[in-house]
Parts: sequence; structure tokens; C-alpha cells
Amino acid sequence: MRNVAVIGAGVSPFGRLDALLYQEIGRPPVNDAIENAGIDRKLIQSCYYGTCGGVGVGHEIMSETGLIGIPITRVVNACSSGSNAFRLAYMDIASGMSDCVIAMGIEKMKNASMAVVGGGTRFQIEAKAYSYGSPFSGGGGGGMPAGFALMGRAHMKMFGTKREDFANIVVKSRKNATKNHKAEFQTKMTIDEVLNDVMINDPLTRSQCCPRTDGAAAVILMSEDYVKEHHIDTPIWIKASAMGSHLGGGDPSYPPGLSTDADTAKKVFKMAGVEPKDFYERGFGECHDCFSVSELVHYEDFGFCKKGEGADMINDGVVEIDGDLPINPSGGLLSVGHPLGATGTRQIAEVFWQMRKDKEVAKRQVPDEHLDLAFTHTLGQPGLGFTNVMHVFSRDL
Amino acid sequence: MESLITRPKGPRLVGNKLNAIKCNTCGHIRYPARTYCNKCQGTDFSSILIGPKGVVATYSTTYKKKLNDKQRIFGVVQLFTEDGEDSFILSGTFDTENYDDVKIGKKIELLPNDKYNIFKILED
Repeated sequence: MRNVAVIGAGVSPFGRLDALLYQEIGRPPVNDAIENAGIDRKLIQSCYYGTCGGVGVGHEIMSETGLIGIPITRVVNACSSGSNAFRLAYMDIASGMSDCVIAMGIEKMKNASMAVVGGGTRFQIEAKAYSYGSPFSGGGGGGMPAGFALMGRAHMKMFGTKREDFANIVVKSRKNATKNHKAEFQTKMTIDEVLNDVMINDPLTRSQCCPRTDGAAAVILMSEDYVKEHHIDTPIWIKASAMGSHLGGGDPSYPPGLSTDADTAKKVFKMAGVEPKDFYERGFGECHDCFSVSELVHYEDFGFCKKGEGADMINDGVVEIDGDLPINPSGGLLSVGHPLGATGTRQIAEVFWQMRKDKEVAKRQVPDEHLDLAFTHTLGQPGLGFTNVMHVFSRDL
Repeated sequence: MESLITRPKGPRLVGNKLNAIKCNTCGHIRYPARTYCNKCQGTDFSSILIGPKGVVATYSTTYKKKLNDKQRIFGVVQLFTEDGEDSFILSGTFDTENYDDVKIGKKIELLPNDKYNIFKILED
């Protein structure tokens, strides 16, 4: 496989953008990414874009940005759509098919209900048929928060984790997001405000659930040959890409973690030739904190700590921007927001800018000693299964 | 070739026990029954009945928008075979509206129901 680098990124403001068309949300980050990369847009040979609800919007956005005529592929994989689009762009270049590719993610959440994510009416019919006589039947109808609430309750019982531990994840997230002018929530919250917020599914209060956000993000990828030929300044190299899938339920190891996350982390770290401890010494990351509980169990599933020790990571300040292993310096999904198709590429834009010390992240810059290595992670639930995508990045080839 | 027509059919429940299958190659349990094991891809299975007795693995409750909304308490239970050798994780709804009735580790029984998995909380 050929070496591939990220060379530019652009992110739209995240929030409720009901008044804007898809094109109006997606066009600026595409143009910004090209400008950030400092390349002629004629170099871009292919496009992959992740979106759940935006049928055909990639063609419209690429057309408006002068990129029509190239292969354009829509990727639909729930919350992993954007990172999945990025993975395909990486594979396109690594395989030798293309030398310069754009990966974009975009979502208007009004058009991306779980029924749409799963494939529309057909999904609803099949889900109903499947749930008849399945492990999921009668699961309470609580939606996404319910699954992570169940995980949280089990974690509390098995390891003595407290509600305050989960709430602290939000306090950290909000603090980081005050330095992110693209985030939906840019104000701090105290632990009492988090705990006393409206209860959704015990132990998850409203602010422990990521908001339904609109937004878009784009990144430009380039082959090593092109990076040299076009004299690209400070490329960030993709060291590994891994993906896993799992059909939830029936697995006794399910609470309080996700076996598919643990498996994918092992795969991606092995491919990159790193171990979890390496991130303590010289790395950071962006993980899929769709709920406070999910970020805490990700620490454990990725091997950054033992099972049951996730609370120590947040309470001891390990995952703060100035901690031993900064996690979600952007503010993560809990504060930046979670437009399903855009989240994966938004995370990659964050680690790219951080590693390149771009002015875009100057106010929340991760310290120098942690900029050698970074990871990104998304967890999606297209229908009844799980899919997750992880990448590892390095400043060195 | 697998298709909707050739997909293994069978009753969801036998009495109030899950009508599941156990892979003879790796021991993985599948419910409902399917042609392939999703752990080792094996195709050699034995029938196995699981439940109705089990324990609460985890639980939560739905957000009540209005005071008179029904409080629905849902969760995941671990159901055991009669000999206790095997178990299976199942989600469903508890037959109580009192959140304090449910605790992790409490014994439950799967109630026969054509549509949903309903768990009855048993007295200690």
C-alpha cells in the first residue's frame, strides 16, 4: 500500500442550521479545505462524502465548488458515515487508484432520523420483523440514550462508578468547547448543572447526550508521491485505518463496554505499530462521545486503562488538554454537536489542525509533546448493528 | 443458498423458554436460530432452551414527558438454561412501574408474550 497524508481541512460552524441549504453548509468547508491545503483544486481526482439524509448533495456541493466530473461516492453508515468516507478515500489513494481525494461529511439532522439512517420505510418494516423474537424485542423504546444508560448502570454496579464521574466528562467537554468557535455549545457547565439537568434515561441527563446538530467538514488526502511533487508543507500521515462491525445483543460481555470497539482498537493500533501506552507519552485523540457514558467506556475499551478505571481518567485530569492523554480537545460530540455524516471528518480535521499547530485550534492547542501521534474513533449504529471506524495519524512518515 | 424462504423457522418461545441454537463447533449461542454461527461461521447446531429464569444485568427508565405518562422500566437480563451451563443476554421491559423494584442481580422470570420480552421481578 502507498503512504497517504492529510493535507488540508475545513469545518463549517456546527449548530441548528435549518435556514441553510445543504449546499450552503457544505460549500464553505470544501473551499476552506482546498485553501488550507494550498493546492489547485484541479488536482482532486475523486470524492467520498458521508451523509445519512442528504441524498445527492455531494454532487451539488462538488458542482458548486468546481469539482464535478470526478467520481463521487455517497457513504451511508450512520454515525460512522464521515469516517467511513475518509477510510474509502484513504483506500482509493493507498491502492494507487488516485493521488488526491476529498472526503466530506455533511448532515442536516432534520433529515436524518434513525429510520432514514437505517434505510427508510424498508428499515422500519425489517426492524419490526427482526425484533419479533429477537434479543431486542421490547427494549423500552428509549432510543440511543437508552443503550448507553444501560451500560452506565451496569458500570456503576460493577465498578462503583458514580453519576458525578459521568457528569465530569461533560464538564471537561464544555470547558474545551469554550475555545472552539465552531462548537454548538460554547459555554461551561458545572457538575451540579449537569446532574440537575432534565433526566432522559437514568443516569443520563440531557446535557450528557450529544445534541442533534447540523454541519459539515471536509479533508483533503494526498499520496506520498504527490506530497513530494507538490511540495506540501507539514503533511499528517495516516498510519492505520480499521473498521469493525457487530450485531448488538446476545453477547454477555456487552455491558459495560463494546467488544467491537476493543477489537477495532487492537486492529488499528497493531496496523500503526503502536500500543495504547504510546498515546500517554506522545499522543492524543478524538473519540465518539455521543453520551458521557460512551466516552468513559471508550477509555477502557481502547486499553488506555483497565476495565473499571475509566472514572480515574476523568477525575485525575488525565484526559484534559494539558493532561497525560488529551481526549476530545475540540469539545467532542457532547459540545461541538453530532451531525451524523460530518462527525468523522470533523474529528479528522481537529487532529490534523492540532498536529499541524494550525491557527484554527490555537486557543485549544494540545501541548507539543503530545503531537506525534493521534487517533480518531466513531461508533455508528446503522439499524440494529454497530459499526466503528478508527484511524491513527502521525507527523512522521 | 440462504434466503427469506430457507431461513430457519421455528417458534420464538417453547412455553416460556427461548428456542435457541448452540454451535457444536464453538459453543456460541444464537437466538433466534439462523443458518450460520456468527462467531465461527459453523453450520452444525443443537437446539437449546434458555430461561425462563434469569437475573437483571442492567436497567434504566424512560423519560416521562407528562406526569400521567406510564413509567416504562427496561433493561437487559441474563437468562440461564435449566442446568445453568449456558446463558443468553436479552433486552426487554420489566412488569413494574416502580423503579425501586428493579436492582442489578435481582431474579426475574421471562413471561410468555407474543410481542415483547416482559420480565417479572421475583421476590428474593
